[in-house]
Amino acid sequence: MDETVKKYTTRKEFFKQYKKKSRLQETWNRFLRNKTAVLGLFIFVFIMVVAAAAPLIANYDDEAIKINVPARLKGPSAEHIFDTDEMGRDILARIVHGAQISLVVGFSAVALALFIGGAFGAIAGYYGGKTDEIIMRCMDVFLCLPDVLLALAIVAAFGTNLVNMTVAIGLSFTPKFSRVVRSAVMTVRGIEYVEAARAIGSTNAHIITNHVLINCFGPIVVQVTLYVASAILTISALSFIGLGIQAPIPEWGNMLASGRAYMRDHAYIVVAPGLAIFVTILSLNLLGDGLRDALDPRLK
Amino acid sequence: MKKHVVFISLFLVLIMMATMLGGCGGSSKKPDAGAKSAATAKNPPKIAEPTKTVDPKANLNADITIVQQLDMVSFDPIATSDLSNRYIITNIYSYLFAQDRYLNSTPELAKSYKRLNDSTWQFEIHKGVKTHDGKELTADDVVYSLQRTQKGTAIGALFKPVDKISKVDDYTIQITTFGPYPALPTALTHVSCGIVPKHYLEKAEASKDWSNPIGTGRYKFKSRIIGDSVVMERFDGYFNKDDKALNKSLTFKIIPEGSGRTIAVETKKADLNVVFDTVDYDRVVGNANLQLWQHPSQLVWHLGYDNTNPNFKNKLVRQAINFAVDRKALMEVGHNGHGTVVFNNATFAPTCLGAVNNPGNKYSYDPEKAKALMKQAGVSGFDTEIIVFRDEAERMAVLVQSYLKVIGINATVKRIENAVFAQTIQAHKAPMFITSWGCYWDPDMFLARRFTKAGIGGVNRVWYQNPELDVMIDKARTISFDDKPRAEVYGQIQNFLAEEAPEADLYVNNMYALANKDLKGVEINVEMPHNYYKLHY
Repeated sequence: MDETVKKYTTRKEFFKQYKKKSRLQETWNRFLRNKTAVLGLFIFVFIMVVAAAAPLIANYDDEAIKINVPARLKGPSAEHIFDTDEMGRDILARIVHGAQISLVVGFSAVALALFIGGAFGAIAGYYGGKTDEIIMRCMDVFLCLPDVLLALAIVAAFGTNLVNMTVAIGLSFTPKFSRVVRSAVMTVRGIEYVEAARAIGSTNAHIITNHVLINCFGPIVVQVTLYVASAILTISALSFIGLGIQAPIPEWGNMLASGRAYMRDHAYIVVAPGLAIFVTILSLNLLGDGLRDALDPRLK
Repeated sequence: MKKHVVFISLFLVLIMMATMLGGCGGSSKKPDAGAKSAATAKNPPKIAEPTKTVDPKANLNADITIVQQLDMVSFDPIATSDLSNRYIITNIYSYLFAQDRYLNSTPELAKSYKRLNDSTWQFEIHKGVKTHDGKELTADDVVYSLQRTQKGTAIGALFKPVDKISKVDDYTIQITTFGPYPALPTALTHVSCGIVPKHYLEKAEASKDWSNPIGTGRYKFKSRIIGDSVVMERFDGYFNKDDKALNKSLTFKIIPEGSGRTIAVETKKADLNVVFDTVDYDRVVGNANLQLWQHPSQLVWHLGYDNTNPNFKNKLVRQAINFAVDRKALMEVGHNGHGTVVFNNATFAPTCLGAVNNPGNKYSYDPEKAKALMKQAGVSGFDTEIIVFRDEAERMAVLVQSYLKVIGINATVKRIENAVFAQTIQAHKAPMFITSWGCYWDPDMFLARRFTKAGIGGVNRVWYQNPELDVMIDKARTISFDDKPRAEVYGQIQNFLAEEAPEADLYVNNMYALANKDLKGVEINVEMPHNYYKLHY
């Protein structure tokens, strides 16, 4: 008891403990209490760090794409801890450089989907009525098609390269984001501060960007995390069937596809990219679920 | 080593954090590095010889299951020369001549034949040949079938020297050729010379429905599930009682995955794997329950390119490509080193008549020379595409891609379906491609088809033609019925084509078939396991 009293020597410090914590701080605290979510975050941060540090781990030109036939399938060793693949390239080097590609394409595709889908969703949700009907029914048409199929059609039509692939996946995710943003906007648009902004004569564009979207942050962040996982899986799926990232660029899906013939004697050749896909997606899903619970405790 | 330290330390940090959190601990899978230890071959591959005698106690009523990589295409014999198709449909139809293991002719329907003069041949067919629906086969059927073959594109240049096919009497037909054509009986073994009974053929031509074929072969068609399997049963009315099928039925299963086919034989789901993936070589020679059969092959893997494509019109560029690729490494990647490297540009396997490996010692793996040739040609580089439709070829294409990059050519690898390969070629949509060519012993059977106008739309996939070459091919055909003078001309042709470099031949792969150890009658020819009717236990 004595000690407690002793601790607060000034009024300022005494009141600090009763000060209302910021919403961000509260969310963060809630997130930290969810152990699986924190695990997801750690794994994901680890993957991001590995991807960023890929050039330190292995040289792209010399180890990830340079073919060295005499060194093929030699088995794990100190030099190649995850074995070499059917072309004599270091599997670890390909995995870490593949992480770069997967993450970059995954995030860019989702960013594109968020930008386009978000804009349509915000307009539809804010204005409602006929605008809403027209935009959302168009989105519904796209929603009928499975995203892999839609992405596949786009890639098949415009050819396979990194940019087309990103655009294809981005476009195939667009309707999903427009739905999420629309419903978030609809819950926010009737709230008093929006009314107030309108009352003082703010333009619609100003209200959408400065008052509405800012307050839809929570559901959007959750959706982004979950869809990055989905995008990474789609990239790998497309690459596996030969319509995604093309050889010799290392990508987890095309590594699986080209290595599968050797799977019985050289397990790492498929286990490594398989695990990479699995762990990345698991971490993003754990993270996304944790964020959802933290941002909106009512959903729990 | 240093680079791994970074990775390992990052990994350890992650593990530490994970354990601290007390959540689910991440565990990584242990590799099975010891799997390769079975290097001591318990039963090495045996050479598959033709079956001469059959054990009187043998079981001749077994149901045999054969696994192959790709599905068949059509029961119409003139539809395609595809190997996956050929070795299925030749069980249904009979031919005037069947193929022996060197792809030379051996009489089947033909009872006897004679050359009346240099350009007139007469073939007598067996009497009492029954079709699967109980009718008798006569010269009318044979003439009708072969005339249709002559009009089709699959046979292409093989029938170019053939003038008229006509009936002499009910059991005799006559074929006249433009000048001497020594290889005619071999030409008649081509898949598209399958004899289809006229009454069925007329119906099938009208309806374009080949789903229920009728022939005179050793097997009757039973069922087909597209992409999965084809089933056929022994035809007891086969005309040659001494050479009937030694098993009750054949089931062809399609398993695209190499190891999947090996596993099918290992687990006794199949009796024979006719497209063995050498990835499993060490594993199967260490397994006493299996027998790997081997035969030298004439299957030439080659890198082809569209000679009419502006990028490949220049002879120097084509030669540069021949210097730029390391054939030995390609064989390692494509077939795990099981084969023989060839330096040739005319798809001559080393065992063909008059074959020269590396005519004039022109080519070797020499990237510097390749660069110099590109410079000489004044070509700094270009973008192109390599078309493939098989796993081996796809792996090779990735390697070729890296070789071409050195000389400034940026290639992308595109995998397509085997069924559309021919169309892709015909539409000039295959600037480069990697595939195999099963060649006959007699070069006359393939040279004209592969490198003259007559082969365009057929198997002249490189779109090469040259009047000078045409003259030489005709000369090799007509110079004599003896081998020696012909072989000389073929030597000249190979020299000529080495200079022209219409394609880059890479290697000939060893031919294997993986069987259950008790299976008898496994036979392999120079392009594939064959004569499935002899399989028995």
